[in-house]
Amino acid sequence: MATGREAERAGISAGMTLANARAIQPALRAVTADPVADRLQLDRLVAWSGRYTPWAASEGADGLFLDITGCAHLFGGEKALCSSIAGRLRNLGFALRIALADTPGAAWALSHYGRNGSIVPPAKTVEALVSLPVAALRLDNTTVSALARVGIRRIGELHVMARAPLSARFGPEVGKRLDQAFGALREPISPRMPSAPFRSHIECPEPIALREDVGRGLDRLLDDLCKRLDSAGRGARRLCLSLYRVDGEIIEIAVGAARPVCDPIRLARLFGERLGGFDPGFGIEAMTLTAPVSQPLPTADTKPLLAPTEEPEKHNRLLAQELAPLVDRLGNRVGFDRVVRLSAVASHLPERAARPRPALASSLRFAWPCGPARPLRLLDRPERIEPIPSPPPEGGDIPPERFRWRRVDHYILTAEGPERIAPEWWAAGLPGLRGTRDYWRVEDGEGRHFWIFRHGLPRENRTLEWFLHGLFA
Amino acid sequence: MSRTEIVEKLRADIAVIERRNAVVRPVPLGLPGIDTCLPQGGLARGAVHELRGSAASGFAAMLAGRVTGAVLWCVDTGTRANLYGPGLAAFGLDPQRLIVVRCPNQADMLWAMEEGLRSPELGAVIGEPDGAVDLAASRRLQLAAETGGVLGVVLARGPGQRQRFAPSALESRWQVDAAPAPAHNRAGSCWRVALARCRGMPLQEHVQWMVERDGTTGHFIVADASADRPADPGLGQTPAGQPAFALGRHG
Repeated sequence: MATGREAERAGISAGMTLANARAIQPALRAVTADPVADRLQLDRLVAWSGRYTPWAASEGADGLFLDITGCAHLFGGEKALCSSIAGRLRNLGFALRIALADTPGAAWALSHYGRNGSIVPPAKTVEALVSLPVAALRLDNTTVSALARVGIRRIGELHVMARAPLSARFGPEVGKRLDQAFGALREPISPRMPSAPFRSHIECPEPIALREDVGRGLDRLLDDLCKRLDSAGRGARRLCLSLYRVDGEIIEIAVGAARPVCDPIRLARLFGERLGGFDPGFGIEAMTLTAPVSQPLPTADTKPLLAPTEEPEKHNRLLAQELAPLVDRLGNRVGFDRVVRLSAVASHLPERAARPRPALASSLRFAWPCGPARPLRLLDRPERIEPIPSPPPEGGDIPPERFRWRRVDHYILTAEGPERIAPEWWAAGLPGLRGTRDYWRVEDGEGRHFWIFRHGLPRENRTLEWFLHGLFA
Repeated sequence: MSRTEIVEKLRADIAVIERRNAVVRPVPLGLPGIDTCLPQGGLARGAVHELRGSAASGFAAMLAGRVTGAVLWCVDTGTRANLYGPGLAAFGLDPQRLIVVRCPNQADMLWAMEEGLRSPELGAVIGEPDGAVDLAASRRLQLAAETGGVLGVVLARGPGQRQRFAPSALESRWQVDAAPAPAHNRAGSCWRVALARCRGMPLQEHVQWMVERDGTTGHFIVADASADRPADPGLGQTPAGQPAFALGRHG
């Protein structure tokens, strides 16, 4: 059983049974533990800590590790940083103990067993820890009681002992924890999210709620981030904007770019659409912009795009460079997989000859072999049509007089064909129609042109089926 | 001042009021019969034109093939008849210049069209909105096109007799239907192109042309300048008699 502050004042302590606690204080309000919700809340707190440092991780069921290396000066020093974290979390309704030390182990020890809010100056870890109980080393209960049996109760007593007999008697864990606490053994913190090398952060003097204000904050962040990206010669492929609300919630807005971008104005336009759609609550007090994915900036081709040049590869590159801003804007709204160009594939099968590829992909081909006419639109799968009258199975290579498609009859006035397309034996495993197809381009009474085919050969001794595959104009 | 001069002057005044003095050079269709009829000798760039009818896609591809720069074609994700690269080239649109954006709904479609129309690096933007484009949406599109100076084309669904006269801020409205190809041009195709309305042009009834695409060369010509001739109501129907049957074998 865990307890709240008022319950402790009434004499109830953690670990009591509920019946005992009720006997002491009948007005006790008991709430069933919800470990899953606790876990989620802790994860939210880890995300919330992202405003202080990108290196934040949860520890155990109720702890947070923040690696504030290089971050403290942004918040006015270590003391101010600690009081800022403690103050904000208290305002959000959390009870907490906080400590700052050289190593995660020492900080854990001090926050759990030391004075709340203690800050250990660099290289003073030993002095800070010697008087703490050995349980502060994150040792399990059996080890702690075994140590107690031989009279070791303080870390200081443990620290001066020879390491070899200690390990032989109490296992390797004791030595490892000691080394972690004193920094002899590195204990890396794995952050919630992969740390972005490019990151920019601002704290708002007053909580902001207006979209314009958020936009202005974003402009400052983008200016700062783009300067860093630029000096590294890189451009952002993905940007993540985190808005920290006063009530502890975090709003994350992510945008992507098809090619690396290092231009604040262009990046601001990508966010433009998305900035209106969130609920600022009681206001936003801090903003962080990270570039989790960045790439080296391509060398700029300065020649403007005039007409298709003789080199398709170069033309493609120029086109991509010119259209990248537009493709990014479109892609961020409808999805990058939906902004495509039709690339040629070497295949006889019409449905495989053109494949949608990302619009700015580099290796696109647009050279289709010359040949009989192809339709303007191809149905994503051929639709069965009913030939009327049904031609005899051994009938010659002629299309039917009339066919019914989507419940409408079409008289065939003229037909051009057949063009025989055989299945590709090397692609036999692919789904789709397997048999030989004979294609006709037919014109109906209204002058509309259809691309129909007969599936199978008369002599293949199978039922012949007719399909409509494409529309001209 | 003669009567025609007054009319010319009034037209110029209206153009200034409508902020159309900055209209960049128009896109000629390359079809002399039609170009001479249009007020600027071609389709206005920086404006949106509406096409409907069974051959509207082909006509749009032909228009897009006549502008320089990339072409953005906004289609619906739900469509089953996808644009086909090898077929587009036959209408003069090089697939290399084409970017297709598949929009999940009407709002995204109109937004994508607006974004494209505002981008001067594009040559043309073609959209296929699922429903009717109302007056407000058409005005937004038109303003976006004026900003970017891009040729915009709206492919309207259905025959749309009712929507044909719906209020719209679009520059012009065309009806393009397939027509039986003449006997000498079996490999090609024939369109009946009718101009329903065009800004800056007095409304005439039944301004229509027969446009033929040569099956071998892919060139377009105006076969029959049948302006002032009323549309034959029976032309669009399936002939009642025995269908003529001609079979061409491809080599």
